[in-house]
Amino acid sequence: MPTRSIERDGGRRPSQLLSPFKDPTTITAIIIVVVPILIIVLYPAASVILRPAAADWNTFFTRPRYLGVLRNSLTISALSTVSATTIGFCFAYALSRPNFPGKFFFRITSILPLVSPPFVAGLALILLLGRRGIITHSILGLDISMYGWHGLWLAQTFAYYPIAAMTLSGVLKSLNPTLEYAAQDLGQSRWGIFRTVVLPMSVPGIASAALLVLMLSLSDFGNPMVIGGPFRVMAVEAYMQVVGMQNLGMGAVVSVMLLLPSLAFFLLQRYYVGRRQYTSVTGKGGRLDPMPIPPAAKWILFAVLTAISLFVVAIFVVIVWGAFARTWGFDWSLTFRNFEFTLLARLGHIWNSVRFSLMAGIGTAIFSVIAAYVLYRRQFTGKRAFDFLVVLPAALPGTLVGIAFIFAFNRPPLLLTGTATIIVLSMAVRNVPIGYRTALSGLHQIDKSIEESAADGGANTFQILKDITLPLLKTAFTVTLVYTFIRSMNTVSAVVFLVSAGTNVATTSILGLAEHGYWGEAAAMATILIAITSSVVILFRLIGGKRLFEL
Amino acid sequence: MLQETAQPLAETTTEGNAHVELTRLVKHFEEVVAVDNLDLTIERGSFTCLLGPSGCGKTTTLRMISGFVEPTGGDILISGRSQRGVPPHKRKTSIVFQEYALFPHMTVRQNVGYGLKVHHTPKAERTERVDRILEFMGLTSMANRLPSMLSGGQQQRVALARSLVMEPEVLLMDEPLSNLDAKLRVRVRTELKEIQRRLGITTIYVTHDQEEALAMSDRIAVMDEGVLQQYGTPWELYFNPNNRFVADFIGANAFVDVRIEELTDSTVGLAIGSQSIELPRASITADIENTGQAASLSLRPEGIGIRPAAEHDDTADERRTLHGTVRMYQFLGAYVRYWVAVEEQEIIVDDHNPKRRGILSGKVALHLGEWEAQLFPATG
Ligand SMILES: Nc1ncnc2c1ncn2[C@@H]1O[C@H](COP(=O)(O)OP(=O)(O)OP(=O)(O)O)[C@@H](O)[C@H]1O
Ligand SMILES: [Mg+2]
Repeated sequence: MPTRSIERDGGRRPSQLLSPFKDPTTITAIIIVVVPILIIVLYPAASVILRPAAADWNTFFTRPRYLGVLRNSLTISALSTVSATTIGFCFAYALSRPNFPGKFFFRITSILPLVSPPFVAGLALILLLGRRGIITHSILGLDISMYGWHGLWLAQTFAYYPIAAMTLSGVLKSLNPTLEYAAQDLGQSRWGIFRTVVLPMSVPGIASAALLVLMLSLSDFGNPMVIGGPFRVMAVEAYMQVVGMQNLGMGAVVSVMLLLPSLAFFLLQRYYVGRRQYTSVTGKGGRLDPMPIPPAAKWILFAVLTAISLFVVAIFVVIVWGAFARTWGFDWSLTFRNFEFTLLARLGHIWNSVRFSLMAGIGTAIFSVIAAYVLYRRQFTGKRAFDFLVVLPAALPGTLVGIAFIFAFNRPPLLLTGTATIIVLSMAVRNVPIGYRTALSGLHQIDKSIEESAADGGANTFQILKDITLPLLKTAFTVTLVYTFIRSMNTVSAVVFLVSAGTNVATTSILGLAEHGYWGEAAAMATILIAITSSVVILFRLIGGKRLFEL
Repeated sequence: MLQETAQPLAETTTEGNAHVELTRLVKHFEEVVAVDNLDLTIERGSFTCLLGPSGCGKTTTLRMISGFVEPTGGDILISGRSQRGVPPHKRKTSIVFQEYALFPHMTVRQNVGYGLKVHHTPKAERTERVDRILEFMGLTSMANRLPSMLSGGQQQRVALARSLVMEPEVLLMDEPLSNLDAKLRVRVRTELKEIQRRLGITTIYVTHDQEEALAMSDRIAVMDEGVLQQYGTPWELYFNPNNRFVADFIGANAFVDVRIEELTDSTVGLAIGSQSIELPRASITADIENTGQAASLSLRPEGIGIRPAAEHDDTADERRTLHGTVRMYQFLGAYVRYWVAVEEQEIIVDDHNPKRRGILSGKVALHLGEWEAQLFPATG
């Protein structure tokens, strides 16, 4: 997935800037794109922001408990960001070097967490290191609890370092290796090259990756739910207020307080860090291969990555093992009972997940391609604002989206609560920004190809449409579809507010099982979920799809 | 360069003092032989070009000298010392990359001072040396700018300053002008040559532009497919190419198929279809021993006189004249270039004084100069 947005300069053809109200096609286009955004993003967001009474706000800011929860959230996400970004950088750096051994293995272990729900890390940590954990209890005979901030920190680190690795891998690959050779030629040591060239040039990319992880860990719901224990964070607090205590006003306050930092990080990322990437201006000319890592650093890094990857492997092994173990921590004999239970009682939830995610994927793909096409081609005043609207959902924590949808769609004509539609919409809306960026970069490539073919003396319009435009848009379409499908299969923070008895999905079902200590069943269901998503990824790759995860 | 005599000026800079020697240098990339048995001796203080078409191994050779690429065989000597196993930063060379490779996160001053800082040069000395080189290169006013705020030509000078400040014994440059537009390229190459001359620094310069090589070099090494074709002064290369490849690569010319009719101690008689001409024996480069043998005659466009057939009189030397028909011309301002068909072959002729007769057409007579023709063995 391309993670950086490709933006066109809005004022490319100033003479053709139109007021949107004078050109009928522009109006139509805007309506197609903007009206849905208004209805499923702005209107719900507004209803949640306007919902709380003054008293609710007052409560939040005067009771130390709530401020404590806010502090918890900020602290744990800061910790997780530092550790996940550091590990992510190590992975990205090692994988960008030609002489690093075991790349295939390291790639696999950083892609696995991307295609499974984030909270499997938390789930596995309990099975590995919890009170009945296989390492702590069965091997070491300890009696320690994983519940709390330290368990959560570990879980989020493992859940989010792959995202950091993926973002940074793009950054490190785009560094021009010749710079490192130039530094070497001037007498610099290997370590000096890393310190004075590679690291400073990666700073914008590191900041960008860190902000992404910060947003994800801040709005993480699954891990705190599974492993946070007494350590309460904002996403869980909002859930408890709304679902546990039916205190919608307080739930709204908490989710808005979660939105604010998230929005701040988003704006920082988009308007500050995003513009600071060092694009190495390089002419043609034989590029040198990336500089190899010196042996000592290589083996240290190799040891670190191996340890982390083995732990990731342990996470997935333990989930599968947990699915087959009769009673974790007591009775290790293998059984199909957990699967039988799952398939009997909860097959419907899995089917719902697949169904809803597929619909969300198709919807997101269609909308994103149209939105990108409309906003990319046309020049009109206010274009930047529309562009911002389309990427805005990336800044919204799932918790906020869930609560906002409850408020917005609970009366006619928009009475959607309890329906499948509301779940599909919540899944779709959160993936539109990624789909939109993918489609934009596709269109960007189209422009380049057309310029090239025009320079070559040229294909005609029909040929361009057939050979360039459609294939590239088709790629953007399928990539968005598959990517949205996988993310929707794994999402939990928004849907947890929206599911009803008939529309429950796999992730929330697993969380429910874990909450009540049904580890075997939870693990069995997680195994099925991971099996589905990884098969989709592998299948997509096999039928020649673009790489979804570039590392 | 203006030549008063037929003697190459380059002789004045060679002191017979070898600085860089390549001995049987070989580089394989798996199957590809990038550089094949290269022997080259580069004089101290000279400006040497590695010239050749794309993929001929120029960059690879340069990178082996700088130490970035390990030779498969042979050796590199700098001041007589073998460089085998010597890492790039321990060599007394400094390289200017084609893409400049300026550090984008450092100012011009930081870029130029980078190498000195790495070598722990005391701050006062560092500042002084950086200031001096910035001044020398005319970069003082932009010392605090980032590279992205400089023009291509300025970036190029910063890259050169960053190398020069290290006071390397040997300066290596890989197509340093190829990212500049044509006009700037001509200006910067004059500057570059001037700087090199003033500093007297041994320079090895890679280019695929023959005009650049002719204009700048003391000596040129022409390469093709990893093999050295000829090593000599621009003058030698232009007027006495060793082989057909060099003749073809340097300067414009036409090749005409001929047959050797007669060989004497001082002349060689040639047949082109039904016409025959005579050239000095010295035009023969190699491998031509027998009459009746097929050969290839290389003719420089500027070495041939052209006039209307009607003006041709018998007082002209008939043994140096070819008769043909103008097939096409281009008016290029300073001269008119003609494509003339002679016995179904094509000869390119430049008329450097077009105003004298206007544009010619129809039948013409071509008069061959004394030296501007070269005879090579025919190729298959
Ligand atoms: N790292 C490499 N791996 C494999 N083959 C290489 C490598 N570097 C160069 N080659 C091959 O070696 C040959 C010589 O390459 P080199 O870069 O030296 O050419 P060049 O003369 O500099 O060409 P250009 O004018 O295009 O820069 C080419 O056939 C090239 O493909
Ligand atoms: Mg080259």
